[in-house]
Amino acid sequence: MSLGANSGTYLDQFPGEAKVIRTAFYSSFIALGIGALMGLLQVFHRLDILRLIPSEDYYSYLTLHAVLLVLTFSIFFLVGVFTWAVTTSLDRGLEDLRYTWGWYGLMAVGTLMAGVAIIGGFFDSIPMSAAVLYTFYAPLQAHPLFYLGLALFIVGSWLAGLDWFRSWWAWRSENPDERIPLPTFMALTTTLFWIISSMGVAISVVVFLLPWSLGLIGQVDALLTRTLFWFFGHAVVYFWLMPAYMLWYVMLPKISGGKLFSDPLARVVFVLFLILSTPTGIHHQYLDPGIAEGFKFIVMVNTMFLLLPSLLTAFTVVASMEHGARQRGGTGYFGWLRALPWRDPVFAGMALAGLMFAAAGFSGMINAGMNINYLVHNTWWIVGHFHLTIGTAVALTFMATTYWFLPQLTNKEIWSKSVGLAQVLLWFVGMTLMSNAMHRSGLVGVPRRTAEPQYSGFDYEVAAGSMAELNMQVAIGGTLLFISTLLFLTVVVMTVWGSKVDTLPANGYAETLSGPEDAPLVLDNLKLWTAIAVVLVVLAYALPLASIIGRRGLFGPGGSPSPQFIDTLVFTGQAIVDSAVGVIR
Amino acid sequence: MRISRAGLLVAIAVLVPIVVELRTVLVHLGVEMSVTETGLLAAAMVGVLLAWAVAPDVRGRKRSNGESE
Repeated sequence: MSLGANSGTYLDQFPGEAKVIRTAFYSSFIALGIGALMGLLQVFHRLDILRLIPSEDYYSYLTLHAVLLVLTFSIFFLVGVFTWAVTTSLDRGLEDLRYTWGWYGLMAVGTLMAGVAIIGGFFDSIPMSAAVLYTFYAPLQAHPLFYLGLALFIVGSWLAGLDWFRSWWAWRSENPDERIPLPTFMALTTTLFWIISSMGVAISVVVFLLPWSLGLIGQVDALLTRTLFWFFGHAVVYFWLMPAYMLWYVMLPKISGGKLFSDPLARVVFVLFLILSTPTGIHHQYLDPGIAEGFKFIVMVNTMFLLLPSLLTAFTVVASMEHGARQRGGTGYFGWLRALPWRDPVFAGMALAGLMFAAAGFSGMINAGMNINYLVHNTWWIVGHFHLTIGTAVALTFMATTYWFLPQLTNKEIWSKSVGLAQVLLWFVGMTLMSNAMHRSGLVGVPRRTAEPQYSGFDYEVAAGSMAELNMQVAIGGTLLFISTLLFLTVVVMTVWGSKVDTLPANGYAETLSGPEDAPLVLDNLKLWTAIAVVLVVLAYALPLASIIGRRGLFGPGGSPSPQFIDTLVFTGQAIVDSAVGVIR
Repeated sequence: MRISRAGLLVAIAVLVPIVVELRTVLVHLGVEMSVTETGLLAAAMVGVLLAWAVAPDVRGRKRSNGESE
């Protein structure tokens, strides 16, 4: 569809949907503000610069920082982005806004419940705590409110996905011969792997962790619940990344002044993520005992295949940007770079986020390699890595595109594009300093997830400079990131406070040089790709899970669930699993 | 100028990771630099970039970017 076919901003076209998206974005920004503050306090505490709380409460900082940023900030924002993408590209509103408000409400209530449980950990007078970090590995146990909140949040995101499917089904019945518009295709494929992958964490929470925290069962198996977590835990990375990818594909070329290089390539990329996102999670468990090396090797190979869609994206997006630059008069092998709209924070932020993501890809390959992963596992390297992925590729893209979305959703001009540009550049510089130091610290074994990384009588021998310099680099980087967040929130608040104008550009997204008519029809066969995705998941996970349950039972060695009806269910389940394992062997 | 002011600002920001990583690379080549020396190198690089940006384009090309600064 040609963009801007319907004149007017998004608010003019879809006022009801714009209100939902605005509310989701504001929820996201509140989480960003609190999460960023927790990040700064964490940096200062860990580096012993400023300690406001005892070290044992550090893990509540860490949990709040992670949950609010990687789950709440990112997912609230992305449900808004996908809602925009589906409604804009199908050129129709959602089927039932009451349903839409329903899933938003479920996500908001879930966030509040989990947040209250975590914040309770800071106060002795509140009898609850959830200092279990974002991964909530057993035997760390949180208050039931935390697990229940997470469950509601995830169910809310599933219902959001169903909302987008309902729109597409309704549109398809009116346009049976049309190709799925690219933004909708991207939202639907992402939804599909999100539902497949989050089944793992849903089972872990609802069947094991929540009953355990309620005292209904005596123990859970740490390995089984970890494996179910990572069933979801790597795919969730792509759940955060896919909306950023979508914005690079459909927004960046438009902002650059050109067209998307290839619609078919973009579809191939999203199909590859649909089928490969989930059967890779065990690469987070290379050092876990209890999972055979062979399974880990298979997962490593799956993970390496994920390089392909990322490289395709790098090629397509850069080619689209070059096309845009040449439309603006850019010339030469590299001279076209100067013709890009660097003054625009939307473009500058997205382009720099993409650049940082390239670095994240390189460190990600090291994480994914079985042998070299042993060097960096559970060190600060990992933290440096994911601050480049979710913390920059995703977060910086989301912040930058806010400068485009907010006027579309409010009919108000961005308060200051200059401050916006300073904000995205500050984020880029701050993350460079912080992430670089974290990676280098990790290489010499500095651990992650600890309030006290200092050891008496022991010095880390870093390759260049000293540990003190690296720590200072982290402190300066973390501070710049916090300042950047404050600038971002200031621009948002001042924009929302501003007056409405009628000179804003129309809603829309990039047209294509090679459109959907060049893409094989099979790419739009979502049933086929979903079936392949499920088969790959079964191949990657059936044997490891059967092996874990077969050897250790559903509740771990010596585990005996109560009350009795659970015992009966477990006995029956184990008999089925034993039979399955017997048949397989 | 050969480049817009915003473009120049972005180029200076992009120098940060280059300088930070260069220090580590140089150590592996046997060249150790202190923080002060690294800062001076960064300042020199920014100076060269600024000089390039404000110098007239010898090929006489006009800046192709239509941005208003």
